[in-house]
Amino acid sequence: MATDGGSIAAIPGDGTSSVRKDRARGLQPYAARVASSPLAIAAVLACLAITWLVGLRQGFLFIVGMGFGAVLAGVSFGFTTGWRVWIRDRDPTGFLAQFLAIGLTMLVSIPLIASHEELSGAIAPLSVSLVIGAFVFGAAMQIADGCGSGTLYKAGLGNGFSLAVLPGFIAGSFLGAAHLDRWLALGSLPPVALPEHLGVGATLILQLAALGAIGAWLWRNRKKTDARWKGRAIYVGAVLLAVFAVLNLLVAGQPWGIVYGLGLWGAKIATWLGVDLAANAYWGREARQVHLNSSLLTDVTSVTNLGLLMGALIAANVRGNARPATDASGKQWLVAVITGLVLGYSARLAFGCNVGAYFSGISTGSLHGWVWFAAAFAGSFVGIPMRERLGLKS
Amino acid sequence: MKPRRVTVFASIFWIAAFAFIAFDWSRAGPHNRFDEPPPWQLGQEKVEGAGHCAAPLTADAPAK
Repeated sequence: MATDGGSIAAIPGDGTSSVRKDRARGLQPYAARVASSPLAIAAVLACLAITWLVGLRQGFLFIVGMGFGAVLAGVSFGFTTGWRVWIRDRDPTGFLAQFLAIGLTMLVSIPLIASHEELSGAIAPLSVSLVIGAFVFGAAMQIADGCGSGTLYKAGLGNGFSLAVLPGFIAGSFLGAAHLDRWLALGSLPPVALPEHLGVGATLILQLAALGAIGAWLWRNRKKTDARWKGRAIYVGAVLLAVFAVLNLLVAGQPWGIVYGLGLWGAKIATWLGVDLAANAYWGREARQVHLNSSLLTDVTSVTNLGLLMGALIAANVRGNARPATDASGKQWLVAVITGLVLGYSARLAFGCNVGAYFSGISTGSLHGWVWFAAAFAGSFVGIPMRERLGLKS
Repeated sequence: MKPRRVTVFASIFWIAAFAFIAFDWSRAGPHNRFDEPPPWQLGQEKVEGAGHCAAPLTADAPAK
């Protein structure tokens, strides 16, 4: 397979070099190129349609989702890649950008949630399923070359491998949620929202110190700083991601998530095929049944996912790299489908992916976010050699 | 994979996505767009069961 570089590995170049080239050529400003893109007009129409059909909140969330997608594609911000680049090349750049985004989001989100009961954090139980699911997800995301957000938007760019991963991801998310009660029966401790136990100030200090200490250790043990990203673009992207994450919280009332929406799409398809989910421990719940019987445009996660797809497509087109080349063998296509299934299933056992558990969990003070991080990072050490053995190395 | 094939793949994806949304809309219950919550959640009444991957099973009402 010719793709490398994580969630956006197939896209040649990086945000900084692209911007430098643009400046050197004296091309029109980036914003003007976005505005003049036909896709931007389509995005505006889509936003207006969602607002007209469903409401202003969903229209806002579509815009927020577009922001996520534009940043992810615009600076090649890849969660999967950041981890792989450190494990393989000891380049901490991706990690540091992720910590910057999480830290900034945390500084605003935790005080907001503590002072506004109408806002919720991504707080999940500390279960056996969390550890198993996060470990498996960490391995599978390295094989698939993308987490939830990466797989989603690369599929929208026409990356064949991600297109093969996505249906499995959707099916796996649906099945994982459907089986969640059985996995929780293996053992589970209650959710731990650190601000409720330590207070807002102590939680912020503790979590920022932890991110800082890990970041400092990664930096001290670096061997490269330009294995994947050059310049400041990825850090600018991290700041923008934090801004959109806070906006998501303010508008939706909950942090950024990806996988719930994918599972809901799978559950909808299952019901269309005649599967009765009314008695299922997860999908049979009243709120889930309401979602199943309503348009997906009324679901906050689905709408941000759709916006993410659109935003990434626009950004990639403006950068001129919206057609990532993919070349895979039959065996590798099969691997993609199976890996997608594993990704989706494990993400639900782990109460989220890099976005819902790692990014949003830690940035809203949930202990499960840290457990997820540790287990998924350990899994990545397994997944990277597997990826190379499967011939998926660049 | 050649760029043209990638374009075809991308086109198929977006057509399928649009068809999925349209089909879902046609099957969903009627939606009153004038009965929507305010544009943002901050400062509004808490909404339970909005749906998030981190939400535990006990986050909303039990199965029927």
